[in-house]
Amino acid sequence: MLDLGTNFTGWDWAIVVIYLVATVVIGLYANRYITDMSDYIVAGRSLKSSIGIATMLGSEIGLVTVMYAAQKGFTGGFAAFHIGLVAGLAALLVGLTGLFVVPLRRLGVMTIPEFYERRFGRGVRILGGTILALTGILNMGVFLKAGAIFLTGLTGLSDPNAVNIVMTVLILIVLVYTTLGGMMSVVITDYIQFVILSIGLLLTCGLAVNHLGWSSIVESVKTIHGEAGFNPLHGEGFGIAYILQMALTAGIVSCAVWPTAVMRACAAKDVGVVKRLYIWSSIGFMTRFIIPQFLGICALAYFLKVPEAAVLFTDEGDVVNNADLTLQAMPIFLSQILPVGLIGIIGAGMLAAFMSTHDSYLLCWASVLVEDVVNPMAGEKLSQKTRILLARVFILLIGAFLLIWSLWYPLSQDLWDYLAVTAAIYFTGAIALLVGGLYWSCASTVGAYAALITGGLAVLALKPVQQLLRIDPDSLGFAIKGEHVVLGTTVLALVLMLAGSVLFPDLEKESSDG
Amino acid sequence: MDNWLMFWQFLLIAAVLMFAVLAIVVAIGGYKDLRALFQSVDAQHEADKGPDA
Repeated sequence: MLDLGTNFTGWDWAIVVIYLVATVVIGLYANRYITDMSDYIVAGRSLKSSIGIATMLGSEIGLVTVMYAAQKGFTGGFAAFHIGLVAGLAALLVGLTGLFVVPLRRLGVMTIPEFYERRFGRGVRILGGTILALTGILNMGVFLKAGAIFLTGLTGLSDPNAVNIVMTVLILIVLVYTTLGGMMSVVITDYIQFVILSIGLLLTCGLAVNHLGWSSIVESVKTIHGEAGFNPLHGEGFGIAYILQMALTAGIVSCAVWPTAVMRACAAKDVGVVKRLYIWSSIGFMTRFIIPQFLGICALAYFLKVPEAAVLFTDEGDVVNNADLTLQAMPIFLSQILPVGLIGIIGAGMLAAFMSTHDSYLLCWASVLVEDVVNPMAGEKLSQKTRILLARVFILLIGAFLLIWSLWYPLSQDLWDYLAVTAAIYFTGAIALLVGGLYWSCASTVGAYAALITGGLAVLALKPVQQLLRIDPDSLGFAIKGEHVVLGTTVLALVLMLAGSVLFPDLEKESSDG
Repeated sequence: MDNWLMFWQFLLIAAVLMFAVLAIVVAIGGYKDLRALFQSVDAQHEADKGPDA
């Protein structure tokens, strides 16, 4: 752990505490608006454009996103901006074409697995819902750890017990207002968090450039990364396969396949609002990467001149290959340059972002478990009251799992790699079902099952799994890159959807053709 | 390298400016939408209760 002191004072803690208390109060206030599952999950389908954008970006611009984006900026330089660029273009494309999201909104579904049932049958819904919920919960399993690293870096809070207690308090606060208020409190708190974080990030960028100077920032990237720090196609940098994977994951999947984003579309008032939501949110989808990445680049420029930060660099003049250290760079950088007061606002904004991401994901995965696994298995006979109660129970159980997993699991690889792979277990199959189900009348149930199961192959991108199966670089003599596994699994799922549908068409379709 | 730098510099400035405008528009519009949302959900609940409520 890099220890350079911090500008974070008691005044800043006061700002953070006041914000957190206000958040709980809002959550309790929103409880009076909940009477049925529609209110609980999609705010009664009443979201209009501006609040829809605020709540989408409030959830999607989370602390974890800021942390791993900053890490990418630190380790990749300006070339990392390609991720934000393709993400923004993909969201714009979705907004202009309505890809996936408009047909889903027209169908009036509340979740993607609900669509699976309408198109392919209840069994696909239950399997798809189970895969989605499990991978989603696993995916968010390291969020608390990222939050702890941020908090430690920004505040100088280095006692591990103190950090664990603060993380526990934060997750308890999230559980309280998410359990009670559902989507209504999520909408309100996301709006407040978006406003605070936007102001904070923009001010921080200005301060960083003022402190370091643009020339110094550029020279630092040239010194450490060379041309690869500017050219994303460079062989020693990201490369074309990585860029394609980003277009898929950070682009299309993040905005149109990942359930938390799609839930916003389902919550929109009408199809027109859905499209406007994505067109305007494309700015947010782009900037949520670029602005934190720039802060990561600024951190690089800052620490290059600090002798005590030599641990961040190798003797050869590269960035050190240590995910925990490079994740700390941005928050520690902020702790050095932000003045008292502003550092408290940034801290509150980032913790608010942390909580808003948690509340959205908790709500999402709990509702998937209730609506897409338990209720279908019960023959759709559960009452509204029971479903809301079950959702709240699942939220609490998931919260308990997160606490245990995140505080115990050793993060042995880049945070983004872990997130991308765990998400891929779900989305590689989901893309095939959405493409086939929404745009091809011949897509069949067998094809859907085959595509869903194929998604499991994405785990081969995880280093611990490669070591277990003896397919790691030491065993094979070459590396199986994560981007190749993800892209390959996506293509395979599409192929199996096609093959399964052609070889085993649905009986109704077969008899109508016969 | 210089061409890439120029491109990323342009993109960064554009991103910051667009995000600033978006934040202002959404902050103001979002407040109005929230008020309308509460009224809408209240009205829906009243309608669900029916004339006997």
